[in-house]
Amino acid sequence: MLTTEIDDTGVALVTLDMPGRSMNVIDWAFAQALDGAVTALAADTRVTGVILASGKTSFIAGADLGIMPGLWADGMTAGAAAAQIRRIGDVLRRLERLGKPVIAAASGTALGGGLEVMLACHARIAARNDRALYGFPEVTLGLLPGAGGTQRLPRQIGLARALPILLQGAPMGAEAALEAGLLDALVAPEDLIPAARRMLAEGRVPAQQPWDAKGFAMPGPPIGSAEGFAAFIAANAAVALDPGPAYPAPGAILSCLYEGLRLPMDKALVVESQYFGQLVTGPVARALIGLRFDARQRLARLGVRPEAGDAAEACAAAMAAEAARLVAGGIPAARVANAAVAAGIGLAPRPAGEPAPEAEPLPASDLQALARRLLVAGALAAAGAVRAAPGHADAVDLGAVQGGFPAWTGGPLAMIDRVGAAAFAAEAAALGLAVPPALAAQGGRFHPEEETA
Amino acid sequence: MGGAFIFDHLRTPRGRGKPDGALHEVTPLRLATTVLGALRDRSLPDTGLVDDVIFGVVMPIGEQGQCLPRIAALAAGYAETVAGVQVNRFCASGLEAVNMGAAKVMAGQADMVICGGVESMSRVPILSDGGAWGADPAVARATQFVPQGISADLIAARWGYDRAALDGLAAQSHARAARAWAEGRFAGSVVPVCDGLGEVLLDRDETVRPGTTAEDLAALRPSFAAMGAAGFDRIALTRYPDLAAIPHLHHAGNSSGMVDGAAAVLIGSLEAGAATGLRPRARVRAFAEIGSEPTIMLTAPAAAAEKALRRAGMTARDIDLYEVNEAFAAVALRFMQALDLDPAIVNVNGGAIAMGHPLGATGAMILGTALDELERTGKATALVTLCVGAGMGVATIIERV
Repeated sequence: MLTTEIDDTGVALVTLDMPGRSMNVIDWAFAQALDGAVTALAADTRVTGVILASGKTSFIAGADLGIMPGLWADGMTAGAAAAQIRRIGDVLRRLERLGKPVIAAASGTALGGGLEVMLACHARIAARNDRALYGFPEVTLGLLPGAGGTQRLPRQIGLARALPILLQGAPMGAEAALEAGLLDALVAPEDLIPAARRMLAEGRVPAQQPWDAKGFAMPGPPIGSAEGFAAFIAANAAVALDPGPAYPAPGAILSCLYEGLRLPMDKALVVESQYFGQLVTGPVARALIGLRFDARQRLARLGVRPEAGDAAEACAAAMAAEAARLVAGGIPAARVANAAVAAGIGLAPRPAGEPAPEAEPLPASDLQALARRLLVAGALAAAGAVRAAPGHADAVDLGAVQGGFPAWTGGPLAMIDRVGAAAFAAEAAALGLAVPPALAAQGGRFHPEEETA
Repeated sequence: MGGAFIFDHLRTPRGRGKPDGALHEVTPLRLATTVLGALRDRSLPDTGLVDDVIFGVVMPIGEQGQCLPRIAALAAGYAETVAGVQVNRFCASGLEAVNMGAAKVMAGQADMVICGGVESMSRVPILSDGGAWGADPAVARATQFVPQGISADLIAARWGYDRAALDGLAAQSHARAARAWAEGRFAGSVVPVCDGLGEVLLDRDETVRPGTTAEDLAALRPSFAAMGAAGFDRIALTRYPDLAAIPHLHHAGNSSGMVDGAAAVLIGSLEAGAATGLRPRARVRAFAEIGSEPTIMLTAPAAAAEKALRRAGMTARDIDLYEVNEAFAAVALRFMQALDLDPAIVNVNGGAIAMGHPLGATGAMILGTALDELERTGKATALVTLCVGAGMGVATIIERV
């Protein structure tokens, strides 16, 4: 997986090339291999500098999502998951404290854990590559970069530039990554390794991270300045608006930043891993990975993508009808609408009605209970319309989410799978909602057991 | 257990809290020594009788840091036995200082204290001390933090106050403050602030605009719409979901102004006063502090007032005069509505919308204003209250003796 060639100037070219895969990923075997390489590079007195490169046209695509079920398996606590993920973080920490200059030379894409590896190097260059993507998409899967990404990125480029990269998760091209400060230079693909060698030879790669040097200050306003506080106040409000309180990852990322940026790196990494442990063992990460990764993988393997058909529309219509019923039953229209927004439900049309005479504060649980009714109604409609055709359940889940069913549930059918058809039917009956025969007959599941396992 | 009596009080005029404000060149230390020095000259030939100087300072950092009240007592030439302590209950700090001082005297653990506060908002800006509430995601999310301007607009939305009602109260604040100045009602209690050569920099409240009308104010643009759109409206609507939207109605003209100023109130036991020949002007009858729902944040004055009234064995009808801090117009409107008060006995000499709100000092200033007005009109009882960040409220009841 990792090969090391040492030239006569003492430069070790460490190349990652995972056999049998089109792209490199981060998994436990990678962590172990890199750990061994770091030990060897530290011990080898010939080695004066290190280039970390990829044998593929991309650098590292990200973490292998196949490791996640092991982190949320039965019996895994947040603490145990945190300890597991620290195995990767600890290796990267050892890499950046090798005491010899390390430069990452990326042939292409470095997402998620791949970008975390690059940030743990003392310099970063990449090949000009139109297909390359850089960024931290973890937040879109309900997770956060748990191997130092939330800590190294702001220390490298400042809080203001790090916030959208971590909170929105949108990948960027190589030029944008250079502009954002993720990369130090872009070079021609054939010049990638020679350029890395030149930078080492010219002494342009330090042997220490800036944050491990005495007197380090993060770029931009200090975390404890009035500007620093204002940035967090604004960011907390922004994530309350989008994606909203049903999604825990943006808040956890902000907590990693708020708490971690006041700490030395080693303590900061522990804090980050704890928030990662909480997210990966919670329900939302699992649902989002199931929807945005597993379901799409299964559909891709089928080759042909089935249409969601009427099921997605039936789901949206059932939520709107249930909302209208609640309003007709005397619940203020604004309350129903606000409950839907807080849960990330896109309701069309929004229920209309007279404003309530005196608005009392309500606990979040009241709104969640209202939203749950809408979700159950929507899921029942989806279950009533889904067909047994291969991939149709996945298409319905993806289509329903497109139509306003919130992604954090994993989709209406995945939501039913999570509790089981019988328990879900009982919940629906208790809410006074009609259970379609299809669900009553559904003894098993809409989706296969965990694909990623 | 003896009572706590008010023997004297003084304040500075309030200068606009911006670099072009008249008091911008004056350090907060000198604002504090101005009132301490004037109080000594008028009522305290022997400063050694004072146990403690208790001052509200809401941004206790930089030149307002380091326990400014003790440093100010030293700088004012007070006896070195006079201790000092800084308190922070956000906007009610000046009144909290009065209540803490009164409590020490009532408990027999102090004979004479100086209570009050100081804030130079032009030199140590609001929000410059950081703090966890809005910034730390761990608490901001759980408590649905919104900034105070959003809370003020939320109050207006919840009780249906429209722009005309808010602007009307603001115009009245200016008219009442202008009349009070014109009639010399503040003359006995305002001590001018001088420059280093002793020339007067400011001898009256700088931000009062006589002749301000609600029509003038109607032209001002709302201040908190962008903030609301950036996510805070959504947070407020999640807490108050029966509202469909939060209209943004507060602006610079119907909210309190940021100003520089200081105030000091001399409080002691009857015996300590008698020993120095001081005549008690009023008794601190009761006081209370309370917390309430933090998102709407600014409605606790009513609950604090009711708590203090219960403690005093009184009802709202037993109070002759009210001072409620005009942090925002909706705060005063809601307070009057909740206690069903006649607006003619509330903030009769104007409030913070006209004269400004020097955070640490305001509570002591409006306590003094209420006492002066009781004396002027021959009335007996006043209740003073302020809304406070994070949903708190503080109230104090005084009666003339």
